[in-house]
Amino acid sequence: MYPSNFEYMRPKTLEEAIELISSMEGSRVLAGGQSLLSMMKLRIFEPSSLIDIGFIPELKHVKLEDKHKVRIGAMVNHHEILDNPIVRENLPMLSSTAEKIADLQVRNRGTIGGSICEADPAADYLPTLMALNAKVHLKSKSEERSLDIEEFIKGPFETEIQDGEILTEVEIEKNTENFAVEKYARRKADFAVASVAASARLAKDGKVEYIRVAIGATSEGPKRLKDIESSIIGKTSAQLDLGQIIQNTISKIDMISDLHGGSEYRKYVLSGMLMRMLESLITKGRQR
Amino acid sequence: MSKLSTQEQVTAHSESSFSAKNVGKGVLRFEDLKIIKGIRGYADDIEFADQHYAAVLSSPYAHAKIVRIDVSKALQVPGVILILTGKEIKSLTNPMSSRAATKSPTSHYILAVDKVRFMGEPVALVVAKSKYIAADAVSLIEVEYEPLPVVSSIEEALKKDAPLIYPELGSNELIFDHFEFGDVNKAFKEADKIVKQRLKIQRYGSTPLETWNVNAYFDKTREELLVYATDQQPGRTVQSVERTIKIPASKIRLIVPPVGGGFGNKLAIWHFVALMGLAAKLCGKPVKWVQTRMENLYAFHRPRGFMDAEFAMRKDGKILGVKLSDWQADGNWPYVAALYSLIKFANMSGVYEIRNLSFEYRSVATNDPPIVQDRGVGKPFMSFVIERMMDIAADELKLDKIAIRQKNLIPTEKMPYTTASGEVYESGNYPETLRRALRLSDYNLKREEQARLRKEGRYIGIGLAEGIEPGTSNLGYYFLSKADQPDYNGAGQMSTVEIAPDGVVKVNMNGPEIGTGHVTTIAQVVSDVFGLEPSEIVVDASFDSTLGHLTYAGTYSNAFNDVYIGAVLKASEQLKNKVLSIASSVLKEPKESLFLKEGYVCKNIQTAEKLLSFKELAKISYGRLLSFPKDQEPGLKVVAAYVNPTAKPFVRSDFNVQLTHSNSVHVCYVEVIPENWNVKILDYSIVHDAGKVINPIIVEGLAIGSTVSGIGGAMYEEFVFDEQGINLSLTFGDYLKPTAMEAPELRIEMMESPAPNTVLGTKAVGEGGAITSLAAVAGAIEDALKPFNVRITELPVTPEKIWNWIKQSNEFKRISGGVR
Amino acid sequence: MVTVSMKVNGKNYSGEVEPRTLLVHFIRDNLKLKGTHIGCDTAHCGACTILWNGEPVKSCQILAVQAEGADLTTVEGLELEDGKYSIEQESFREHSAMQCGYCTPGFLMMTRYLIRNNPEMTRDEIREQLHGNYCMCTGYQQIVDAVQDAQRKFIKSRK
Repeated sequence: MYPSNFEYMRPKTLEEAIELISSMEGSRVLAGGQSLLSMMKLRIFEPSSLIDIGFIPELKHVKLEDKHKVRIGAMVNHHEILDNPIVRENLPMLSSTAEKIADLQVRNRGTIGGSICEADPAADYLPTLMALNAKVHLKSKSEERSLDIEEFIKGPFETEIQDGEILTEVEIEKNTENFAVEKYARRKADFAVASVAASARLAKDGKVEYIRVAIGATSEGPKRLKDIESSIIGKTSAQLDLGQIIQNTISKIDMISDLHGGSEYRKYVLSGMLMRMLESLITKGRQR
Repeated sequence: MSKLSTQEQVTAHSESSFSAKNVGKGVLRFEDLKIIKGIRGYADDIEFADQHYAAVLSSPYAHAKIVRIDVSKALQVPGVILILTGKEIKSLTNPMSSRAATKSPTSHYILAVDKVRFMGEPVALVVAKSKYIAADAVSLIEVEYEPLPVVSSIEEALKKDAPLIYPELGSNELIFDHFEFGDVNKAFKEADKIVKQRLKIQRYGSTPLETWNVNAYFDKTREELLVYATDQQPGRTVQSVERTIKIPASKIRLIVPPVGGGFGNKLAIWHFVALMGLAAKLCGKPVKWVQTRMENLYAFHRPRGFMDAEFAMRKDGKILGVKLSDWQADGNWPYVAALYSLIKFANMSGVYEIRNLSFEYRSVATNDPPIVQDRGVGKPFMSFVIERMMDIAADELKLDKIAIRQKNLIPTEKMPYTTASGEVYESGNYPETLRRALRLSDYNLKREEQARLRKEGRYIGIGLAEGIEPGTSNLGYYFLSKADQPDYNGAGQMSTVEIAPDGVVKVNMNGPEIGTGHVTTIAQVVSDVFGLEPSEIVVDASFDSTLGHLTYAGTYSNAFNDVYIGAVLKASEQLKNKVLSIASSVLKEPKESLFLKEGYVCKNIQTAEKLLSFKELAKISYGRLLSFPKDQEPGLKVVAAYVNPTAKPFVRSDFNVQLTHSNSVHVCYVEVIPENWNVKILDYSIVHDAGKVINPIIVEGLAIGSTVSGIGGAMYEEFVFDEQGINLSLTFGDYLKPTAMEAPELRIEMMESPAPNTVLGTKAVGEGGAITSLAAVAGAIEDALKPFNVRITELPVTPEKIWNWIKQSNEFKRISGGVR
Repeated sequence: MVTVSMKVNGKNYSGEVEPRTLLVHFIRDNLKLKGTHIGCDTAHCGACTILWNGEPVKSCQILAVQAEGADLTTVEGLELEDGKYSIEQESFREHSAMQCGYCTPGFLMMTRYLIRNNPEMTRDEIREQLHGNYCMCTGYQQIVDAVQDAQRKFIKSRK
């Protein structure tokens, strides 16, 4: 398969990239290209110009700020996230998620910025980033802003990014709480049939002090399950009918329905995953 | 009833004075020396000077009228030199014809004419100076379609008012036929129990990693079409191309370089050879077409269908009779319609004694895409039906699954055994294969483990299947349903062996090398004839239609081990005989005292005195014509054709579809995970009897590989279509192949029951796993799901299907607990 | 047209390409290195796997222009300078880890990377690392054997 032609720009600085993207109509940012090139080869997508941000050193950093804030440049690839000591130490949930994406070769090219902007509803990063309350930084010629990931992702394949803006960085507070990240797909590289990212902390008395739960592969895109969080917080596992809580939430969710799984089957799988993962996270003594 | 006569067995062997030294050894493949360097030389690696490229515009509809095609914008793209549409094709070419069907449609061409009948059907062809430009031009062709009602199932196709795929045939039922052997009615009257079941098969198929490639150039000075193509049956392609684009066969030179995987998928490429050949002739440039993966996934699969099976059983488990009714959605490619049904005769009885048997079949045209003779053709489904029915019968009669099989296995003393329809199982020891498989798989221990783990709430299952793997196609069975007699046969091949002028032994089997180790296998066989090492034999890995071949030359129907080995061996022995005769005259030694060793003509077995080297002999034979023995012809090149002696003419009451029959038992051990009902294969054992094995490494590799391809069909692979006939499985993200993570570790053990009707006792190798694995896997999953009372009658067995089957069961409700 | 320069198998190359040219086409059509194959067009099958600064990537999902300045290795770069086979090549041959061979270059490149970065993988771990490479012929068993053997050979070579 062969993409259609386009003009190619290779800026060396972020400033230059922003200048280009705001001046060239119909242009599109090329990050790692692991999703974009597929669509271009299928000619589903035919941009008139591509601005390759792969040669901009300032987008490739992983930094720990004030000992609690991790900043990850948009062009950091999945393999680096899985491998980087700062991420592994301060955001083990994120590096654990990166390992689940596609395969080794794709992880060496695909970037966190590209993946977020693609906003595939079944992609692996997004539930984790929601559970971690990540912020994304956006930059345009006139403005610099930062959005919570939940605000940024509007729906399947849809984000808040505006013309002329580049996603430059992901910012995440250090989080070393107990966590569980899983995706179920028939084969490892496939998009999730269902995916769950959750983290929790228990108080000494076994009450849940902190919990975050997010899921992927719903028809509206990745989702934080705030209902579940609020039903659980402040209680011990013994005080909870987890099955009922999960059921109440799941019954309101519409899952993707395609040849990899109908909505009802996906809900069934999701329920089982949530039940097992949450039970393990909030039951004292069962935490890892 | 015919049996393989002793005389025929003698005929097969008497041509050979063969003594094996390298045959039977696990020689490492010579092919691999090129492969690991990345210099194998596949079709796409070959480029002509001034190479141009073709791209195909495919139909987005499954059924539609073509109202208008506008190529004007596409023609304006710089670098585009030719565009063909149905209009040109209709005037320049002949339509395709069918083989088995009694009537041929007259409206199916190599590009759609006026109408498309499947999604992905080629509608236009662009030739341009680069592949990117060709793709650009394709995207600029405007086609106005008028959608027609889509016929997406057998049931719809056979309705009275169904839209017709080929109006000129008057019906979507391309063929219906009925066969009966023995006394089926009596058997059913005498039965204690009739076990009935409809079993289904999905659309799936092999997907060689190398897609289809054609590179065609019309040389005006020679008026010859030169084509490189990834073609598995090039002999037939030459005939079909001649008929379609009207270039004489003698003016077509078709070369098949080493192929990146065949599996039958590349048996249908001929119409693209015709299309590119025509384009090359019209534009005067070399035209290369490399199929995209999406184009590869559009069409040429195994057909979906179903079979109604009825087994008349005695209560002790003995099969008295079998009735089978086969329904096959052959899509729209009348070319091979009915083939999947007819070939089922090759293993219709499985490994069992079934004397009373009826079979009827329908080949139905739908808007499914065309089919192709994919790995094992109808045999995997046939084996699935028989082995599933054995499990189901055991269940219904409350008998053990092993015991019911043992009760019906063909006893070894009845070998060679002729089935009710006339198929001859030439050799084999089915009870022993089963015994060994039970031992290899630790069957009894596994049963104990299963019971123990069941108590722990785990769903573990064991499946077992014993299957026949037929090989060498007696192709004319296409004509079983026709009045005429077949004019062709696949039971023979022609090959060339020579001692070249420099004294090197060269072999051209003249068939496509599709990755199954032919080069090494042939080197082993030929080295034994000439007393050389396999590494000293030069074996060509390509096909060339200008060299000796028979009409149906190709690598297909599991026949290499029989007919190509037969042809190569025959040519080798004739050449050896000639070498000895010439040497005898030249050396003035009695011929009987001479033998070949280490590249020399030698005498005296004890001392092996070297008298004349092949090099000297070649010098004499090719050059010294005046001093050359008068009773001999100069040159050291022999072209020989070999035909398996047991191919029978086709009589409806007694015929053989294939000529060798390997057999194997597969034991599959699985766990089903209740959270998502995914299936994990924990262990897999195979005992495989493919007759005499020439190279155990190669044979083992094929048995393992074909099994994993079958596991793909059993658990993962399906081309899914929506109601509009749109194929939803057009990438490897949607058409799921097993990766290294899904493939199990396999244990394998070989048995050798030599075939009496092949020259070395070899039999079919290469399809067995794809045939026998389906029922073993399905049986294992059903066994694991026993507490849910599930009967598995369709494939692939996906987690979602399992969930749908079990979710109303009591066991499911029992274990669901907190989560509903 | 855009000029790209890169190092492939130790040699510097530079060429003019349309920006849309895929890296795999640049390697096959411009550099005439035919060992890198195209199997799926969608970055699933891994037949086009090459090493990019030592790490495996799928060259069908990368534009040639993105490889500006990169140091690439293809299957043609595996052979040792004295014409001997590399550990990966030897192991694959000795274990007959191929049939049609179309996928083999991709698997060899993966093996080159894996044995150097994780030489003590179990069979299951090897299977997991290789899941982005499809083989339609072998059923993978002999490929896993070969990678295991390559690990052993590599460890031995370092002692």
